[in-house]
This record gives sequence, structure tokens and C-alpha cells, in this order.
Amino acid sequence: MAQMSRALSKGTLLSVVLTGFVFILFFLANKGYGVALRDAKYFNGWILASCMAVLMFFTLRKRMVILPFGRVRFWLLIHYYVGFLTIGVFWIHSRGLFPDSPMEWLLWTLFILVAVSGVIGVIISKIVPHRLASQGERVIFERIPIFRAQLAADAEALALDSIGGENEVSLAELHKNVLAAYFARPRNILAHLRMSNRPIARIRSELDTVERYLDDEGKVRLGKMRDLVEAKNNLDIQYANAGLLKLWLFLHIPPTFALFVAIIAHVVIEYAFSTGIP
Amino acid sequence: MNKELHDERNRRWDEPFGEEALDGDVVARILSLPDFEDLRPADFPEWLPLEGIIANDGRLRRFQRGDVIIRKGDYGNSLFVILEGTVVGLAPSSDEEGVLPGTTVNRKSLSRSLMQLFARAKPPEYRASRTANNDVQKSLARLTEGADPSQRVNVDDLVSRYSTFTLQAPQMFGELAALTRSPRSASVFAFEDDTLLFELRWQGLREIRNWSSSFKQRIDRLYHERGLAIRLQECPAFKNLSKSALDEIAKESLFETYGSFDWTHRFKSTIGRRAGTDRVIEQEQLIYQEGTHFDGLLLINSGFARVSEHIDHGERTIGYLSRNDTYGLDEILGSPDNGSITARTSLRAIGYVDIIRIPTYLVRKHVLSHQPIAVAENAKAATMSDSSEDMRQGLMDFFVDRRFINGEKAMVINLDRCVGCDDCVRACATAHDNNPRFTRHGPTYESAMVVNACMHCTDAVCLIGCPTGAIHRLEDTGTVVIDDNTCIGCETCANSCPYNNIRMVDIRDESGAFMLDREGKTISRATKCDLCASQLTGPACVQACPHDALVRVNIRDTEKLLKWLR
Repeated sequence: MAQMSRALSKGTLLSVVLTGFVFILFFLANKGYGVALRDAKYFNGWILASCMAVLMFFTLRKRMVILPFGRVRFWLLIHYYVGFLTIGVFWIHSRGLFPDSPMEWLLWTLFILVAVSGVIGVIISKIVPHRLASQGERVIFERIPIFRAQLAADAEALALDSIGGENEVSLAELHKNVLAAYFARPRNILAHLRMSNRPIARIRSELDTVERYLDDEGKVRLGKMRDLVEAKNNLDIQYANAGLLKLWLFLHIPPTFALFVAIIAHVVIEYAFSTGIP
Repeated sequence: MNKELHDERNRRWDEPFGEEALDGDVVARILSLPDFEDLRPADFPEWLPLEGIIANDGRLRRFQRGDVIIRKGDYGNSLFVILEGTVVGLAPSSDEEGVLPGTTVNRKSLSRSLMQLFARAKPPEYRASRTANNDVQKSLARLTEGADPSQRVNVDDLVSRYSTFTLQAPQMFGELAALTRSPRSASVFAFEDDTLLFELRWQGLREIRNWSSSFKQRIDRLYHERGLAIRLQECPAFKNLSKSALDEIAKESLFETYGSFDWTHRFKSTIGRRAGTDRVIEQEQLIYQEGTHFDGLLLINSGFARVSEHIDHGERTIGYLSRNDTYGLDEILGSPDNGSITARTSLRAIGYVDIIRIPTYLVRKHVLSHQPIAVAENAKAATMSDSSEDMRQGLMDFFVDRRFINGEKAMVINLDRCVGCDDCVRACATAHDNNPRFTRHGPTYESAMVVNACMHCTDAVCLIGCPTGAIHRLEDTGTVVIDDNTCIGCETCANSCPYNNIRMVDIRDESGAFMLDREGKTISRATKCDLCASQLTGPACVQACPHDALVRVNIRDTEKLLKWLR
């Protein structure tokens, strides 16, 4: 609720209204070009290119963080609102139709890829942090493999320990058949992205199954193994969700640069084959 | 072995306080002053000769009439002795707004910032050779030895409009701030042309105080005489009292210290253990036990104290007190004039705490009889930050048990908003030649992570043991910074920091190879967050966070913090 009220603050509403107003102004000006029997494609095309340039300023600002040009969070807000405006301008520029030439197919695909990944980025950057914060201690993404290896080693040592003294085999067998693979690498990524408890519930029930074969000492070991399984599960949740936050950038930034190059080619081609009447 | 390599390891007094070390005649003149004449060179160890301290940790400064010598609120790292001339100071209670011209903060220009952005990448923890750096340091020393004429004030006007005090040769001033690592309590100006002062930086003062008992007694007496009167004037509850009333209170009041200055190591070993936070309260020295007899109002002079109440088999923290807060006003207000008073809560020293104990009858006579309502309101205001926003018990325990309340500029990350993009770390690296000065990690309570970055503490214990004064506060902002040219890599500050926020790094030359000393050992330097003191933007981490997930905040400003965390 608090998050929703933050998202719908006065400032946000004002920005949405302002963006809508700017879009209406653009829409009317674009209509005016049409009424004046001029080719509105050049007008809305340049507006689109300008919007794209403003969006690129965000990346530049991030790289020049020690210069006093305002906080990056304000630039991100500009990036958000100009981004939504750009989608509208693109819709007008492409007349809401799929283009009919290979060069324009490329442009269209790249723009859609950048726009969709951008919108997804906005959504997941609001949802995922909250999800991660509710999963206990936040782990630095790059350190997850180290912690995972440590948990795997601890689990293996526990399993070996169980066959050492009392010669119990059930925990060691469970480790060999199920847990070794579970600890070996990230597991159940898609389930964790859906926040599904099904995979961990299955492992919990496997652990419960062997409990009846163990004496008190074995049950203590089983308890420790449960803790390790839960820790690995939390680590997988962190890996899946933090990985998603990193992955979407790969779907957003490289296509952005490709789009930038394609736009330059598009402008050159359009002017090379234009009628000369703007 | 190469001599130049040997020279790269900083030594104490490689960088004297002044442009150059004072010569023998000046040292002899200083040692003949009444405050120093009792000092016996034989009391000092061979490796720390008295003459060496005076020559290297002291400097001469000449001022013209109206020059600002010290400025109220600045963080003082030195004391002054008047050699020639007279100085005039504004009484600590004076309202100085608009009296002094504003200070200029020494930041990089836009062109230098641009050059930094596009400069060729250097090896990690690269340091330029000492020869090049020395020139810069000397020119800086030259700049600070005089005073900025543009900051000059009209002394006659000040004397006629404000309550002032005058000091003449060979009196001493500035010792209060230098000893307590706190802001200056009064502004002082030169009253005559060619006023000559001897300035002793605080690590020199510390050494002389440590090795000479007579000097220690004199300084401590001065500190008590002046400190008590000044502290009472600063406290809102006593602000409007007459001088005679203040004198009477000062005469009857007691300075008391609870806990230990050296609380860091024990705290670190306890907090490092599992469930260590549950045991922290046991280490804290009890000042008042709930339900016991209460004999005076306590005014917190420095440090922190925990207020708690007994519940079941433990103590529940209900608040904390810091400088200028009072304890016991509620008890005195709510009790009959001659009745016995008992403490309603327990009070413990967090680390160490300096308090002033003021007898109850004097509080009744001078404070409550004149302005009971105003005093009660002031008392409420002092604890307002705890009550106006609803701080949950767990968060209160988290901040107090881990002593984060010490943090003036703690880096707090709201995990509900942080996407883990590490833009903050990258920005920090950009601002510090590709060497990030913090790790995005730290103790967490629910969505609040207090990151392992220097908090620029109110009670900066890292400053205490530094042998060269390399770690110090910037005068104008109070930011704790490390002077790389005087850091000898002894690790004292890193070991003292209760929060493990100072890191030792091995430095490298231009080729990326580790710098070695004569014995072939790597040379270390202490590094930490400096709040991007020299950058145009202030802390780059805050600038860079795209999701408003990171803030530099005074942890005691709970209202702001809780609003931001919501």
C-alpha cells in the first residue's frame, strides 16, 4: 500500500499529466502538418529522433556522475516519461502499422525490443527489490557462487559424517541421489521467478521421509541439512531475481545502440531518396 | 636498496604542521611560556623528544586586526597560545548569524572534474611519488598559515554589539575543541595588527598531555573551568539564566565520565559473535538503575547514553541521549519539592559518556522556578525525533545496540528500492580514481541496510590514536578524511573503527607494481569514504543512485530516516 501511494504521489500524477499534455501538443502539431499538405513523416521523424537523443542523455549522465548536472534519479524519471512519450511518437510515425521494407523491419523490431524491455525494466525494478528484501539477508550477486560452493561443501561433509560414526546411510543416500545435484548449481530459476514454493516443498518432504530412520544424533544432522537446504533455496531466489535485474539490461542496452546506428542509416536513406519536399 | 623507495613510506613529522619545522630559537621561546615552562624534556621518550613535538606539531601564525582565527562551529584540531597581541572572542551564547562572512569549501573546478573523467586509467591504489606531492602540501600549508583578508571583520563593531571576552599574551585558547574532537564553541578574532600565535595541532597536544603530568593537570583544569560554563550556556534548558545563576550552577556541578574511551575493541569482539547484540547492553556501565534514588539532573556533555526500562528478565531500550540532552527533568518536575526522587528508567553509558551532574535543588531554584513550561517543552523537543515518527522496537535496538546512532552521515540503503545495479559503487570509484571506498554490504534490519562506509561519527574514535594526525576532521564541514601524505599505514584507525569502515590498502606506483620499503615490505595506507569532499557534487553515491535507494543521513534524525524508509 505504501509502495502504491509512493508510486501515485502528486509528483508522479503531475508528470503523467505533463507528458500527456506534451503528447497532445505534438499530436496537434503533427495534424497541422498534414492539414498544410506537408509530409508530416519528416516532422514526427525528427521529433522521434530528438526523443531518442534525450533518452540517451541518461546513459551519459550516469557516466559523468561527478559533474553537477542533477541527480541520476531525476534523469531516470525524465528517461521514464520521455520513454513513454517516445512510444506514442513512434506509433504516430509508423502509423501503427508493421513496415514493408527490410530496413524498416529492422528499425521496427529494434524499437519494439528496446521499448518492451524498457517497460519491463520499469516494472521489475519496482517489484524485484521488494521481493528480495523479504527473503532475508541480501547477498551481493557476484558472491552467490562462493556461498553456494560453501553450502555444497558443508552439505557433503554432513552426509559423509553420517556414514562415519553410526554408519547411517539414509542421509548419505539422499545427498547422493537428490541433494548433491540440488547444491551443485542454481536450481528452479523459473519457479523462483514465479515465487513458487513447489520445488522446495518437494525437497523438504524428501528430508521428512528419511527422518523416521534416524536416531537422535542423526536427527540433529538432518536438522542441519534442512538449514543448509533452506539457505540454498534463499540463495537461488536471490540468484534468480537479482539475475533477472541484470539480464533485462542486456535486452535493453545493446539493442539501444543497434537502434541508434539503424536510425542514422534510416535518416540518410530517407533523405537520399526523398522528393525534396519536406 | 633504492633510497627513493625507502622515502615513500611516510614517517611521523615528514610533514610538519607549518611550511617547515620551527627552528631552535622559536622552540626555546615556546618552551619558556608559562604554560610550557614546567615541561621537562627528560619526561619524554627518545623517539618522541619534546623539542621535536613543538617544532613539528606546532606552527606560528600571524594575524591582522579583524582576521578570523577560529570560527564557532568549525571542527578544531588545534590549540592556540598568544605570543604577541590580543584576541577577542564572541561569548559562546552570542547569536552570530550574519557576523562572519561565509567560508568557501575547497572543491574541484568543473574543468578539473572533466579532466578527471577523461583521464587515463591508473593502476588501483596508485600514488604519485612523494616529491611531487610535497610541493602541493607545502603550498597548502603556506595558504593556511595566514588568514584570508576577505574574511576580515570590523572588530570595533563586534565589541560594541556583542558580548565579548578578551585574551592576551601568553594566554591559551581552543583547547576545548582540540581535546574533545568537537566543534569550536566560540569565534575568535585578532584584536591588534601583527597578532602572533603559536598553534599546536592536537596530536602534539595529546603527546605532551600524555607524557607530562603537570601539563595534563593544567590543561584539564582549564578544560573544566571553561568547559563547564560554556556547556551550560549551550544547553537550551540553561540558555536564559543570568551569569550569577550559571556561575552558581557551574560551581556546584560535577563532571563525570562513565564507560571507557577505549570501548571499540570489546564492542567489536562482542558484536562479532552470534547473538552478540543481545549481550552488548551487559557491557554498558550503569549510571542510574531504575527505581533507585535520583540526586540531580544529568546533562550529556559528549558521548551517548541508553535509556531503558526493565521488562520481564531484560531491559527494553526506550531511547538514547546525546550531547545537550538531559536526563531526569521529568522526575524532578513530577516530584514534590522536598520529597525523595527515584529514577523511572535506567541510564547506561553507550561506549563512554561525559555528563554534568547538576544538583536537584539548583535545578528547582534557577531553572524550574523561572520557566518550568519552557524547560519541559525543551526537554520534549530534545527527544522529539524519537517520538514523532513511530520507530519500532526492533529498529531502535538495531541502531542502539550496534551504536549506529554515532553516525552523522551514515550510508543507508533501502532494500525495498535497491536493484543492486552497483551504480553507487561505480560512482564512488569514478570519484576516487577507480578505487571504490565502500562495499555495498552491511548489517541489515528489514529493509534498512547500514552500509560499511564511513559514517563520519559524532564521536569519531578513529581519530584518537592516529600518531600523525593523518585522519582528521575538515574544519568547515566536520567530514573525517585521511591525509594520504601523512598516513604511515599503522592501522590504528582501522582497528579503532567500531564498524570496520576503514580499509588498509597496499599502494602501487605508475607501473602497477606494489611500492616497497627498504625491507621489501609493501607500503599500506588507510582508506575510507571521504564524502567526496573535493567533488563538486558531494557524495557521488547519492548522486548516482537511480532509484532513490541510498541516502547519507544522521541516524539520530529518526524522523527523516523513517520517512525515507517508508
